[in-house]
Parts: sequence; C-alpha cells; structure tokens
Amino acid sequence: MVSLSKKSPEERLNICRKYYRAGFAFLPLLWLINAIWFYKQAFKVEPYPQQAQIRTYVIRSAIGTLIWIIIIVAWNITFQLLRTKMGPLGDFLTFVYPRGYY
Amino acid sequence: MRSSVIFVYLLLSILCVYCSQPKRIVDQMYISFDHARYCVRRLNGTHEIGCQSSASGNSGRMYMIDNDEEFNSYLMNTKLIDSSGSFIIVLNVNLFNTYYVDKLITSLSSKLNGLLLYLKSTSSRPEYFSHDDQCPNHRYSYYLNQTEIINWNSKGTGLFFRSFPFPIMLIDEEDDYKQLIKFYRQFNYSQSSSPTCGLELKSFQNAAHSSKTCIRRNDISHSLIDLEETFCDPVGGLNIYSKLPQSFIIIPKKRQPKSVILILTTTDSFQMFLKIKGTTGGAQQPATSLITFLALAHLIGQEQNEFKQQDKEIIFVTLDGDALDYSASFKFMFDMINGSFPIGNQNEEPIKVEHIHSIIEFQSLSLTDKLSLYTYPSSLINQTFIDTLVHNNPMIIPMAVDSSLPPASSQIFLRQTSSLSFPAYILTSTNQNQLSNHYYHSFFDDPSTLSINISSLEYNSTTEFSQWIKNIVEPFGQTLIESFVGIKKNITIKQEIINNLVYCILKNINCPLIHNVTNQSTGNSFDSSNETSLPFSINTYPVAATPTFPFVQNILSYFLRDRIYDTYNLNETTCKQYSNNDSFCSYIYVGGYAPSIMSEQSFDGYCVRSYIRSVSSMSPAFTIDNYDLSQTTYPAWTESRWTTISLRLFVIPTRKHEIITLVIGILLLSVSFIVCFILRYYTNISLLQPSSS
Repeated sequence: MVSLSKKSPEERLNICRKYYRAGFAFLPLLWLINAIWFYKQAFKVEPYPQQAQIRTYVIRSAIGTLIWIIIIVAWNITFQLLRTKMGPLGDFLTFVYPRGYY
Repeated sequence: MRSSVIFVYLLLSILCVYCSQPKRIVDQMYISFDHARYCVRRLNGTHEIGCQSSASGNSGRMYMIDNDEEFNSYLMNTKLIDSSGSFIIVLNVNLFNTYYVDKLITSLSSKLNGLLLYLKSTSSRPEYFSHDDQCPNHRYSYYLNQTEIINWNSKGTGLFFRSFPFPIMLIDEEDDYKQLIKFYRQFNYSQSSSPTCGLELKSFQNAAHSSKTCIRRNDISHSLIDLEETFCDPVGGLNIYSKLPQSFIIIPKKRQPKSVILILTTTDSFQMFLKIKGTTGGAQQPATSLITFLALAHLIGQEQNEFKQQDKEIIFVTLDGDALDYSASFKFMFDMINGSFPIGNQNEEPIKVEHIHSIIEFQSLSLTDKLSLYTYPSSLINQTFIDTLVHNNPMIIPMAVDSSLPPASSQIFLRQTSSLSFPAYILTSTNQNQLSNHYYHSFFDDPSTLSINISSLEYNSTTEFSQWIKNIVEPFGQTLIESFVGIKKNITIKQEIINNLVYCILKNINCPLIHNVTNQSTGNSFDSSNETSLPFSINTYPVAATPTFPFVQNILSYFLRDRIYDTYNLNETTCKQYSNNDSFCSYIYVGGYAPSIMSEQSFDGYCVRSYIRSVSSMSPAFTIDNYDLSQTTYPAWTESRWTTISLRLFVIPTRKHEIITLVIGILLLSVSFIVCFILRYYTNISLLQPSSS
C-alpha cells in the first residue's frame, strides 16, 4: 500500500497529476479515487508549496466524477425504459437477452 | 477397553446402515407427476400464444373445482380467496372453455398462478374438446375479405391462440388423478389455516414477444461469448412428393399444359397439450386422410400399366405445416411459381402453374356415412369427373357450386393462382357446414373416435374403419382411370394392405410393413419408436428425429414403384449399379412387401425403382432475404424452446408451523455459535502445532 505520508511533496504531486491525466481516457474511477485519496492532502494537512496544485487536481477530478455519474445514470435509466421500445436497436445493444421475456 | 470401543463402533454403523432410509429429503417433500401434458409458447410474426411460467416454477395453493356449483361457490368465497397470495386452480377438463377461464382470470387476476386440468377417466372425456378457432386457419384463408364466415368448428374455444401469463397443464392418466384427489381430500379438509396442498408448475419457455424479435435474437451473437443461444425454431417439416417413375419430361422436351394432377394430404396437426412419449391425437385429421391417400397411391401403382398409356402425370404430395396458417402450402406454391418444383434433377422440366390440370385433396375425413365433395371455381371444374365420382361412390355428395370451401390446403393453391388456372376438388367429412370431428386439433382425436378398439387391434385385423377406407379408395381409383385413361375397369385393393396401414399408422409404426419396404439401416431406425403410433404434431426446423417423414417417404415410394422390377431377381450390387446410371429415380434393395407383389415368383430381395422427393416445408418468410417477419404475406410461425417441464405437489404448512420452524432454526443457530465459543475458550487444542510426546 502506498502511504502518502512517506512520500515527498513532489512525489505526491506527481501521483495526483498522473491519476488526473489518466482519468481523461474515459476512466472515471481514477478520478473518483484521486478525489477521495488526495482529499486529506488537499484540504486537511498544513499547507506546503505543492498543495495548491493538488487542490486544483482534486477539485477537477471531483467535478469529472460527478459528470460521469450523471451520464451513466441517465443512460442506465434510458436503456431500462426504452429497451423494448427501441425495436431492433434495443436488441443490438443488449448483451444478455432475458429468456422468456421481451 | 479397545475391543469394546471397536464393538460399539461396529454396532452403531450397522444400525445406521439398516435403520436409515436411503431417501433424499426433497423426495419426501414433493410428489411429482411425470406424465402430465403441458402447454407451450408459440409465436407468429406479431404475437405470442400459449403459456409461460416463471423460471423457477409457478406455485400456489391448490383448489379443486369439479363442476359449475363448486365454481360459483369458489368465486363468491372471498375469505378463501384472500387467505392465500397465489392459487393453482385444478379444473375439471369439461370446464375448460372461454367462459370459465375468463371468469377465473378476471376474478383472481394476479392471484391465478396456474391452471391444472384433470380428466377423471378415459370414459368420461368431454363430448367436444377443440381449442382451435371456430373458423380454423382463417388468418390466411381464401375468404379473408368476406364478412360472413362459416364456423366449421363451432365448438372450438380458440384458447390455443390466446396468450396466458401462467402455465396450464393437464393430467390425463387415471392413476395421477387418483393420487391428486387422495392428497387433496387428506389435506384440504377445512378452509381455515390447516395445512393445505400446494402445486408447483414449471414450464419455462425461452422465446418471447413475436417471431420477428425471436429470430432476430437468434441471429445476433456477441462474439465475445461464443455460445449462440437459440430461443425459438421456425415451424416446418418436409413436403414429400412422388409419382409413377414411368415418364419424365427431360429438357429440351416441353411439358404439355394441363398435364399434371396433384393429389394432396397433410401430415401434421397440433394439440394444445403436449406430452413427451404420449399420443398426439390426429386420428381423424390427418391420419384418416393419410391412409386414404396411401391406399390410393397403391391403387395407382397397381394399375400403372393403364396410366402409362396416357400422358398425364399424377403426383402425390404430402404437406407438413398446414395446421398453422398453411405454411407448407405457401412454400409449395412459392417453389412452383419460382420454378423449383420438382426439385432434384435440373434436367427435369419444372412444373409451373400452367401445367397443373387440377388438384384433388383429402382433408378432415372421419368415419361418416356420407362424404362431401367441395369444388371450386365453377368455371374450371370438370362436371363429368364429378358425375363419374358420384356414380362410382354414392357416399359422395357434391356440394353446391361455388359454396365456401372448408379449411383445406387447396385454399392457398387457389389463392396464389387467383383461381384462374386450375380447379380444386376437396373430399371431406362435413355435415351442414360443420366438421364431423369433435376433437379437431386436440389430443383426444384418437382411434377410439373411429370405432377402433386399439388394444385389440392386430397387424391384419379387418375393422369397420379399414373396410370404409376400401369402399372409398376403390371407386376413387376407378374414377381416375375412367377420367384420364378412358376405360371402365373394376379395380380392387387387397383389404390386407389397408389393415396393415391402419395398424402401422394408428398403433405401432415399428410394424412388418415398414421393415419390408425399407433397407436394413432405415428399418432399424424405427425400432426406437416401438409401440408408438405415427406422431402428428407441429414439426420444427431443424427437423427433429420424428419417424413420420421416413415412414411416409418409404411407403409412398414403394407403393408407386416401377412394378416391372418385381419380376427381376436382382441382388444388392446390381441394384446399386442401376442407381449409378439413373439420376432421376432412387433404387433401394428391400425385403419386399408380399401383399403388394403381383408376380407369382417370390425372391429374397427386390430392387425398388421409385421417384421420391422431399423438400423443406418451412414458410417462405424464413428463407426470403430481408423479409420483414411482421408482414402478412407469408405466415411466420415459430415454436419456443424449453428445458424442464415439471409438476409437483407439496404441502403448505400453517402459519404457526412456519413460525415455529423459523424460531427453532434461529435458536439452533445461536446455540451453535455459543457452543463453538465455549469450546474455543475452554479448550487448549491447537491443531497446527506438533503434539509433544
């Protein structure tokens, strides 16, 4: 387990930056983890020079996570409601067909 | 000390072996009924019909309703209806019609979890039991746009074509009924909270919504997972046709117009309640017509020297799949219009609509005194033919000109040619626009309706039925010879042949007849269907291992064989050599069916030269590219797949019993936790460390 207290502030900034940038490859979980893990570092620990940058990364990761949650929930609800009404498109998008039910 | 320990140990193990009953607990909880009939789901282009249960079965409190008074008292008994969340109604089979079923569905709505029908005994079967529509096969009939439709099957309930959200099963064996009633009386004594019987019906169907959806889902496979799951299969079997192997129109010779006569019959039926290894019904429709058809084929084969003298071909055609919206007839006409009839050799000139002289059909025949002859259209029928037919057989009554046709495959032949090309002659058993069959398309349509005592029927017993067939077929053959060959000849068929056909089709397919007309390996394939009658049910594609098609193929081709080969003493290798030189006919080496062979000498084996073709009878809807299955140009029926079907009886305990069981269980759980805790605390055994000696 990586323990952030043992790392130097530059290394912490490095990790946070890597997670932030990697999250743009359609990986919202990385942003979620980034926001939660570095929350303490960004807001609760005594200030150190790299903290401002870490703070921006954490806030942006949190916003990104929120946007993704909205997109995924909206698509989930749409698919559940409109799967049968979409006709052939609904069947092409389904991965496992419900046996015995439409 | 040690010996006593061993002695006690041995004593305990002996006691355990002899005193314990080797039965699983689940066997003591459930009584299962393995011989129940069940209803399955089928789909057409736009709708689904049939029954569906949940994947783990539909269960509920059992309530038996035997007659009308019990039915009414049950519906008024709100206290009883409220006492349980789901019911399985056990209904007398006489009460299975739209009135009672609809009333149950509206009164109980979601509490009705299943329906189990029972038949008290074979002698108490209802007088009418048909769940086909009142006007069968009307969705694609010739009379689509007519406002006045004739109800040929007026006692039909139409329940087969309805979709039920719960499973329906039927018990038709007397032992099952006795067991059911014994448990019911034992437990459902009072309507209060005493333990009651419950039933679980499981008949989960894979397909849903419509053929279009189902076929689409069959075809989509997400290739990450390699298993393609098939949900439904299209309905279709084989259309078989055969003719005398005397004349072929080989290209470039031209076929004369109006030179082909088609004789039609069907080989399928349906039942609402299926059973694995059970009778399928179909004795009146289509078995009677099929036996008449095969006997006529034998007569024509017998008199082939007369038919050689004229240029018209008589082709015998069996259609499989017409019970559901005439799929087989549509396929046959589709093939004919597109030039692929007859299939097989490209050098044989195709038969098109203009080459057809007329069609003759045997449909829905029953053991009746009078037969009805329907003909259409009046502009094309040959009145002399009808007069000769009636003159030779006074049993036949010609119906009025242009009267409505009964449900018959000919309707589609006429529809696809707009009734402008050839006339149709349909021989059927109807009386005042009513089919004589009380059990039309149901499993009750068995040989007892033909006055046949099936248990005492032997391979060569002459019954009233087989004599009736002889009295129909002989005049018919005579009429064909008079009309097409032009000579008056008294022809007869041996009663033995018809007796054998009746035995094979209605009692036991694995009969000497089929073994005499097939070669060794084909004959052996019938051994697995020993003591079963010819099954008449809905066949699906890919064609399952039903014995119906090989049976019809071999017998039809044998009856229409080239009889000159009966006089040749050939062996198997010579027969094979003949087949290498002839690409139109098939040659097989068989044992020979004695009653059919006219020559004086008899040999050990005969080479049979015959013309036989089989084509898939799946509706054109499934074979045309980019055909939208929800269109109504062609029927698109499919049958769902299913895995296990089961019917089980169990006892629902009272509320008090359930609570006590739960409390004891929780107590045991907590006691075991406490005991384990105490053991851990007070003992010093450590299993991982080596013991100090």
